[in-house]
Amino acid sequence: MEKLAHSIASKIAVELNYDNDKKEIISYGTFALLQMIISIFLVIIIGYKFNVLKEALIISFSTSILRKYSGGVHASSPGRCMFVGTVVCIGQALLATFVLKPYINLIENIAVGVVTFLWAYYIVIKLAPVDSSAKPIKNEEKRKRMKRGSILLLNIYITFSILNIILYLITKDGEFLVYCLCISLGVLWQIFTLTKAGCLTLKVIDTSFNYTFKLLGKGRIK
Amino acid sequence: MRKYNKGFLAVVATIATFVATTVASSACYWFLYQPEEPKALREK
Repeated sequence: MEKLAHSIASKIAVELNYDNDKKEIISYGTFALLQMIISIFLVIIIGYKFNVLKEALIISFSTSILRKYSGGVHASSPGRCMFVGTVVCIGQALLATFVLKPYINLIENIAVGVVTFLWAYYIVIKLAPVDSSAKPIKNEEKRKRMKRGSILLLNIYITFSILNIILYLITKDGEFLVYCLCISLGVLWQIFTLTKAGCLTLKVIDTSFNYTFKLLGKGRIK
Repeated sequence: MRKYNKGFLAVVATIATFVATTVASSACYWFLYQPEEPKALREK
């Protein structure tokens, strides 16, 4: 995918006479767009297949939008990123819809939400934004802006969760409790990726991929 | 090399630049992968 983005950017740069800086920006933007489209497309297709489309999309969007402000640990390749991201979204949607839904009532749902958001605020205030070597955030003003953005997003998520609970109380439709749970699960996963435990988990997954590909004899080891 | 419509390429370039700038002002990409950020976009 990175090669495709680079090739598109090179063609554009040649045709439109752009310099190297502009070409790099176009390549970066094209790659971002491709990754976003393919990631969402995968969640839609697999979510639809498992009949958890809405739930998977709620988890995917709540995780990814918060991620843009809070940062977090990264996979070593776009393929692994999409695989892990999709598995996590679909897995959590299946967990919320088919495992937790029959057992979780309104009070327990609220308890899960309260614990999740208290932990999320604590971790965001303490750690966000978590940057990477590929995209370091050294500017103190930007760090503050990212932290404020993360807190604002958590406030918005809480508002949506409360709205879902109100809609459940009005309609008695259990789907709204599932949506509320999905927001909590999405936040929970994203906050987990900010912690050392999350970093270690993704490293283990990454290493397992390397090992599997090595065994299969066709892996690209980083 | 095959010739492309310059207008179309300019539109693609504009969209890609807009996305790159938007991503540059955030902490990271959409999912779990973050490629090297171009120098020209650092600290935006």
